[in-house]
Amino acid sequence: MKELNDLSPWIHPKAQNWFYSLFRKTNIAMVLDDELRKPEGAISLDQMRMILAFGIMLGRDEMWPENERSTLKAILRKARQIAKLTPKSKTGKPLTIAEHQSYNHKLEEFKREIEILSRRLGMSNRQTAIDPPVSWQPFWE
Amino acid sequence: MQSQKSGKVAAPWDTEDGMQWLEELNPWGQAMRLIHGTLQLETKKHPQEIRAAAAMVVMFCRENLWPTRDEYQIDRILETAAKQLTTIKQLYEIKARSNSEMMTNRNYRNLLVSIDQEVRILEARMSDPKPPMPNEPPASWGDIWV
Repeated sequence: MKELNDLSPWIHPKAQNWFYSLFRKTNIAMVLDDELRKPEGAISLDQMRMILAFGIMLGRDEMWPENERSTLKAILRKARQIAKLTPKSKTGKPLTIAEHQSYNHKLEEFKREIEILSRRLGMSNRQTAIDPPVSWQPFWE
Repeated sequence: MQSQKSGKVAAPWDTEDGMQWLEELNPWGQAMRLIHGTLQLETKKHPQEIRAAAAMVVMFCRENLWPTRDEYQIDRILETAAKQLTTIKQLYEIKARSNSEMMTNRNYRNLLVSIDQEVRILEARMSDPKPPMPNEPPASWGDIWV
């Protein structure tokens, strides 16, 4: 009965091995590392949100191999850096008020996403809980 | 994309930059092939690996996140994952019939409910027929945000 104590799809040792093998065969952590090494401005906020989404969905001890966990920290570091950047339009022109509002909404969502991974990695300084990202909900749909 | 224009924030995979980044992510196609290969395995021998691969389908097989936009291919992977999970659930039920302790175990019952929910989520994503999406996440997945 021991194997029935925790029943999430990633918890069984064979499932963990499968996830680790997925990382090994695809080199996904290495590829993400390379992405994160790109110079400032080369990764847009939306691209960073996508990279962060990988961290949120796969960033559990049972899925993400221990020897590749520095990539999760690198994702978090880069996301925090990008969250602090001054927004720029793609044309180089100053943002309009509407664009600013849209950017701020997105930034709030981005911060919620960052907080999930921060907590997962034990790197959150928040004392109070933060709402889950609005755009993901419900996550299973 | 429409949600961005109307002021609502889009999910990371529904943004133009997010989609483009994913399209260029080489390991993603390889990951999909591994998932597909695992879903073809024998359920009696590899139930844990198949359930792990099916969990990837639940997480990632959605519009703009899965590498292909071919509806037929998406339906096939959803259908395969749902079918394999259903078989795994049946295997657990057969095992429990000869094990009274298992039958009365709350975690075991929770596992069956969870597999059912995982199957319903997969089926609800299919183009046709489309049963309603469950109102709750799979019971064994815990809080996805934690």
